Amino acid sequence: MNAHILLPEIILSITAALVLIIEFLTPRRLQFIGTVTILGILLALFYDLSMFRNAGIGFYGMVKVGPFDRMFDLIFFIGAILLILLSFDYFVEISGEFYFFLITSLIGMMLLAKSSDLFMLFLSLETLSFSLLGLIGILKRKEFVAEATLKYFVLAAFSSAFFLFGIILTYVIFQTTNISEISNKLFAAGLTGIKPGIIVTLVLLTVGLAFKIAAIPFHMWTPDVYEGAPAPVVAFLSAGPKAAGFAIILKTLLSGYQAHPEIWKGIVTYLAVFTMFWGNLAALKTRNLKRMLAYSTIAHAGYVLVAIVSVNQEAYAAIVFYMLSYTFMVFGAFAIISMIGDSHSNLEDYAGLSRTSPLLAFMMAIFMISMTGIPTTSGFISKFYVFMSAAKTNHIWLVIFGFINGAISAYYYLRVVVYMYMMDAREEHAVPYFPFLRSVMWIAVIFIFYLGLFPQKVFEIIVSTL
Amino acid sequence: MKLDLLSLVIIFPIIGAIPVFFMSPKNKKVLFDYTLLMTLVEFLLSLFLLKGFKFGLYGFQYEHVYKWIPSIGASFHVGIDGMSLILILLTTFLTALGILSSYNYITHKAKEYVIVMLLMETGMIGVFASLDLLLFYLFWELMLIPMYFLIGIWGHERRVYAAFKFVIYTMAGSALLITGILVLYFYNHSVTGVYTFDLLKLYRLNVPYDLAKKLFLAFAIAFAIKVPIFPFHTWLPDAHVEAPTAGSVLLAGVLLKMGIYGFLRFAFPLFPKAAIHYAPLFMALGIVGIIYGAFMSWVQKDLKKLVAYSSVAHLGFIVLGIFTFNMYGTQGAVIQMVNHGLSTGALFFIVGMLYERRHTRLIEEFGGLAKVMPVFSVIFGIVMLSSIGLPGLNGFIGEFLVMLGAFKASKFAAYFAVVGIIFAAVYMLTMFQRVVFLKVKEKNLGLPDISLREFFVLAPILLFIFWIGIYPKPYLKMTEPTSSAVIMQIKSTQNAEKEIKMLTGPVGEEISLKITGRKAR
Repeated sequence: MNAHILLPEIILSITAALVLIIEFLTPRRLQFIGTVTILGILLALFYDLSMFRNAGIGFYGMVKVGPFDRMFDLIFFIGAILLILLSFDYFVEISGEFYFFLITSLIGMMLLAKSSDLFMLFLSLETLSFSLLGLIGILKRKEFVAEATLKYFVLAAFSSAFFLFGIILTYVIFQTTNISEISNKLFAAGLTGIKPGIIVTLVLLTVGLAFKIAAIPFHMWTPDVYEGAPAPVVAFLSAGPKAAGFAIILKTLLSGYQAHPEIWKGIVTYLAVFTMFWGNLAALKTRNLKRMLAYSTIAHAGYVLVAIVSVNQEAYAAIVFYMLSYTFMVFGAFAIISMIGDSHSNLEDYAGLSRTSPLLAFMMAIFMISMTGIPTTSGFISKFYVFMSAAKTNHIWLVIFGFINGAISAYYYLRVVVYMYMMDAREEHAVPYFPFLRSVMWIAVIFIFYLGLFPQKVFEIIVSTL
Repeated sequence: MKLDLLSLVIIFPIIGAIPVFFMSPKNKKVLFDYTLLMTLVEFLLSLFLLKGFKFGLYGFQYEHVYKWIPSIGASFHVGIDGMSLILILLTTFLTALGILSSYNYITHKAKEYVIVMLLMETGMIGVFASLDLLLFYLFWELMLIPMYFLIGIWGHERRVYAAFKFVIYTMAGSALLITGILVLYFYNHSVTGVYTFDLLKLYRLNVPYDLAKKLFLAFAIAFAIKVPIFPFHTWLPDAHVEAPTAGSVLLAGVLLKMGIYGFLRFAFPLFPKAAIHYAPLFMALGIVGIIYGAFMSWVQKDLKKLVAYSSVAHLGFIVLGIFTFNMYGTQGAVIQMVNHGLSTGALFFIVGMLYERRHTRLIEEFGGLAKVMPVFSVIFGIVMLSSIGLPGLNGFIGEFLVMLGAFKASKFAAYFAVVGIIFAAVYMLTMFQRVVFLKVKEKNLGLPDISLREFFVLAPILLFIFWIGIYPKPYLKMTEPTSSAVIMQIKSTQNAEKEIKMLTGPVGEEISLKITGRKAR
């Protein structure tokens, strides 16, 4: 059965159970439970890293682990740890179930990246979705939370149904749900006779996946969920699960259907272009920072889809690098949003921030500039890397569109800077000092500049896992 | 890792900015004194570059390669030739003066101001020193943010609009530039099998005509927006008018030159055949810019807007000059870049000083300044004449050479350019008359004459205005190898090996003979 290759996941499952027991015995001791969770995660991370180069197949072909999947694990771990740090300052009184859901969602994501069977993929997807529901709805009494949770639930169920239909059709066509077998059969048999079926399958699968990464036109949930959910959870949502979404796309489209990229490339190309433009254009009119970042995350998904269209080795590396750098940007931004306060996330609430708390304004400006993709920040290098993979396969128009979108996005990202630096506050409040939120902010800034100025080391590691 | 002088010049302003973070924002004077000191040290460092610079040599000096991202073939490759050096000197010179001029002008957020100015200095110098396309792009885009803050925070009424317009225009242009760079990069790989952004290696590439035409346009549009060449110029008046004085000076003095520099350093040598193909188009656009800029300046009521549109006209001359592809035109354009930086920079300083006194820039509000501010008016007059291109002052040298070049390349173009010079005299003299002469308006009666600090802002510029005007030889000699290398790269397109050979400069001799009337050396 080869169970040891899933040792990190097993450790995490035990931690999850432990968290529930501790919560039962001594309820609502947030920092204690959080620390236990962090320790569990660090232990899992340790085993993950110690087995970094070990590849293997386990659980009767259900999971296939390689260094590249462990690269994704790393992003998930970073997201989870940053979320726990944020939660220490952000939540005053919540039950320890928060950490339980956090761990289960982490397990869901990790299994997603490692599953080599469509059914396994589906199961881990559901694990992830349901855990996320718990995270989104954790503050039951906050306004818009019920709306956000319900919306996420309905649409997640909806997209899962599509995905499941896709899986069933795949089974009908290939008599298997194993991804590498599908790939082999496609290589061997070709498309004769099964092309219409495959197209329908791919459309169904893509719909399911597009929901996860919030691609147009399956993005409707994003702004509402982003506005309603607690800021730290939103940061986690746009880092980890989104990366997981791309991991599934890599699994199904790039691995499973790699023999005939021409049948899905068209769909993904249009998806990428529309997602980029729609996300950026919609963000232009948004005056709430959380909603704006929701549209921006849609736009970022569009950029990453560009890499998928190019179907080459660089694309894999570019996606991992992008999600890594995006994790830091988004956590940094949401750390500051958490400090200012969830219910004060209108642009007007940021007016004059440079006067009341210059450091926060400066950091926020860096996060916004990085998201715009200005050089020396990781936002530039990651975007550049993604478009480089597209340019390599001669998708010149996608590259031009991508960078033009960068110019469009400059408008709304820099508008935040305008409010912070160029407008005066109507009333000035001092922002309280939050040690954990600040630590996340510093971690984010350090990594943004590290990845932006000296990406070589990380490039090397990622490329070596391919 | 030992740092070489050029890299030190590039990163010194950023290093100098670090202590500012720990300084108190309350004490404005200390902040400015410190920053002035830093910019002066930086200027001194750039003079050391000049000291060790070997004149008349072809190729790049102070060349250094540090590892940056080897896996994609990008390196921190810097090096300068005469053109880069003269522009770097201009940058450090104008930044120091810009700080000196802002002591009274900047009333709030002084700490942020000096950080932004220092960051911008690094960006500008980096652009002129990069020999790696990705590094160049990095500095090129990095520039945007400080300039955006400069316009947006310390600008005038419509500052936010102007700042956005500036950033979005430039970024849209950069989209084409970076795409062009990527295509060139992969084309190079397909030919040589090497992934590299190194400019000197890419110079050896012979890009096929069809591809070169597209790539040239991609580069050219990005640079044309920055210059700005006629249909892309609309951001310029807004940005210039709204920016604070030092911002306008750096914008006119240095940032606009980055576009021209881009043509000469990247677009021409990489795609020579395409450059020849599109030359008539760009010459025409240059001429349109000259005439259009002149007409627009003529009708402006706002002093700063007038100077801004006169920039469009001057840059039209420079564009005309570089697309003549002969020694006169190119040398004239390069020297005119410096001249424009000096005279337009000085004009912006002057407008800023007037604004500090009267808080208006409307021409009709002034009048009779010669009586109340005699010294100021004399300096203003000299700068204005240098901008028109009066013989004996720096503007003449550049415009005359461009004219010569244009005449050799296309007589038709030269006729129009001459008309442009006449218009320049018309709008500048009209403005000068209305501001400095006529009857003294009551409101202007008590205006103080130029202060010592202001004098020290303008005096160094005056020195160079006369120096270049009377004895331009050292400047021409400094940029001569660059110009002839560019021309050779264009003219020898049939020659696959575009190695730059050593040769002496007979053309330079001829030029200095024509202008100064004496034999060089």
